[in-house]
Amino acid sequence: MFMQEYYLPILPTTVIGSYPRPRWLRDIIRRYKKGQIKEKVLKEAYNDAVIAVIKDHEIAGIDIPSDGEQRRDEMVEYFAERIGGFKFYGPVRVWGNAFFNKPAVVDKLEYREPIVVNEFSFLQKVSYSKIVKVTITGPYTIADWSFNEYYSDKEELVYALAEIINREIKELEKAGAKYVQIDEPALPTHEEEVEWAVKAINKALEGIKIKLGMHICYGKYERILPYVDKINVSQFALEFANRQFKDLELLIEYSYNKELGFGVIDVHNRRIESPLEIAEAIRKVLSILPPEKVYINPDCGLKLLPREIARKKMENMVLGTKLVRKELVKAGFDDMIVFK
Amino acid sequence: MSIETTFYGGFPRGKNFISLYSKFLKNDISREEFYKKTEAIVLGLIRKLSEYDVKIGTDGIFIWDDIFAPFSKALSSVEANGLYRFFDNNFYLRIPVVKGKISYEKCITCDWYRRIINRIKEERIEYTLRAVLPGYALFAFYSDDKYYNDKTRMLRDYHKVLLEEIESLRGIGIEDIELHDPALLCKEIPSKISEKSIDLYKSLNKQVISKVWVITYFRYSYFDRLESLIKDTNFIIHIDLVENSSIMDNLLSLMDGGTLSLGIVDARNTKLEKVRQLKTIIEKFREKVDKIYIAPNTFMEFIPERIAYRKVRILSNLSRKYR
Ligand SMILES: [Zn+2]
Repeated sequence: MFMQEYYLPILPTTVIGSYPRPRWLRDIIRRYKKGQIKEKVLKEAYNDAVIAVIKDHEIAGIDIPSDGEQRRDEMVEYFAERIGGFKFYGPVRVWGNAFFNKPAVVDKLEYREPIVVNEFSFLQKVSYSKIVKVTITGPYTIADWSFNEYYSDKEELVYALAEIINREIKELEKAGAKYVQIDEPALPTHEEEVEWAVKAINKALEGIKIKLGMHICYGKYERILPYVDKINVSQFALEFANRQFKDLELLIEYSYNKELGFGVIDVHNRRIESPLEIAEAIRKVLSILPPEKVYINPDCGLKLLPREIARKKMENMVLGTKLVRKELVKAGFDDMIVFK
Repeated sequence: MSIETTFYGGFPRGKNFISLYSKFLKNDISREEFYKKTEAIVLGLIRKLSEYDVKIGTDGIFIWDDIFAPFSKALSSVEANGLYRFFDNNFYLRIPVVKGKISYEKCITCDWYRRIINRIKEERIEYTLRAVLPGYALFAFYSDDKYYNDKTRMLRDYHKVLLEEIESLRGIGIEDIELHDPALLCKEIPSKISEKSIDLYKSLNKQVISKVWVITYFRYSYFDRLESLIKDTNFIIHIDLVENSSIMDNLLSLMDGGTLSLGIVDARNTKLEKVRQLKTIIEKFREKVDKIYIAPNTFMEFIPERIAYRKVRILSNLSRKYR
């Protein structure tokens, strides 16, 4: 079969997924929850929010945008609500006054219908870019952030989820998605589980031909790096700015050889990084990996930042990347790479 | 053997409190109004628990952000800083950063506890309030020491602080203190710190009049270190049997009368236990101890509020079987 080739600028810029919701959308959601607004209005608002978010990405100059996960309140809750077998008993605290609607698995899990395919189709329709990123919460993270009342152990639960996620990715592939990112922030949390978790995650990726990436953040990378070659994705998008680029040596230590989505923007800090410091960070990673293997992105989703700051951070990320691109072209590199 | 239900540390916060606290954080209500309304919520909790025969426990530590705050404000040279994962949970705390010699400033929680104790008395509820504090190993494990260069030295000063805090609390009528120490037996704890902690617990045992409860939970890697605390102190030791069922025989062999607290329902999962199954555990201890407190294995903030109430009810149904 002939596969169309897509080209991207060297050091493609992208995002991890989430983006702050416009103030008006938050207002509409609040009123919807109070029963003051019809579902039809809410749905239209979600669509319009995606259009606004895409415009922010376009103005910033992001090569591979996402829909900012505008329709999702939370990355596990959203999937648990749409997979059969989950139940919600109420919020549990994460820290301070922040709570999370932790789902419970109370029955055999069941794939009912496509979960994020509509999200993708709408995004693709309104996107300025042919390649967009669709994010999916990985089976291990969904299991780790859920209560298990039904399966005999966590491993069995992760495998059941892997089957469901696999079906969803296949649906996305059928719908024309070109790039799916599996979010597994929980993967480094339980050292003794990583070995079987990797096998279960690969079940979720079985038989997929489109580009797959994985996002992990705020954990001990030493626990994951020994396994990267065993996980069937071509790229890992990792947070580095928040840890002041400290763990970059680990990539050498573990002979990291896949594509890297390099996190250069700290999403837990409102200070806007300058293009110069972003360029400096990129030069650091280029001393370790060849430029064709590096994508540039923020550490994690931007949703906890005020929208104005999120947009400026993206803009500077692109400006900083462009500085380094110029240097690369001068040094004889092609200005474009093939998306694969 | 007598048997009584209790629980330790935080109780899950309900929707009322969550929105009240968010108003307080946004400065929409004053501290006084926040305390007054929280007082009513806590009293509601205690009233409901006493219907389930829970006659001793905490105030649910609703005004605490985590096990260190606000207590760490009672210490000089200690600041709360970055968010850290609490063991392997999706639950985070602000770790204490130790920037100088630790000493005791004043009791931060006393005003609050005094209000609750008064209300319990006014309403004539039969309930013994236990105050919550971080244990030695937990404090050493999570603190970021920028001063001592040796956490065992830091713990010596922390010990003095604990003595003063326990005394302050006794001054306002709190005689029961629970020291949370999930770090004491965990895999990652340096042996130097856990051994020093055990020594300090033993000194504490000789130095305080209050009744001290040492609350251990999560997976143990060094259960043997607990043996001397069980044998040589008057403390009530809480054991997490949910995550450490394999230590059962060992624990039984250590017991010869006395009081023990057993964590037998899982406060990290919503699945409900069966009274019948729990009874088989308790039966094993029947001839071995004089008194058993039955409790969730750890604090209950990992589960939603309604599940926490159901788990407490299971425990109270179990204890009724021994009336
Ligand atoms: Zn992330």
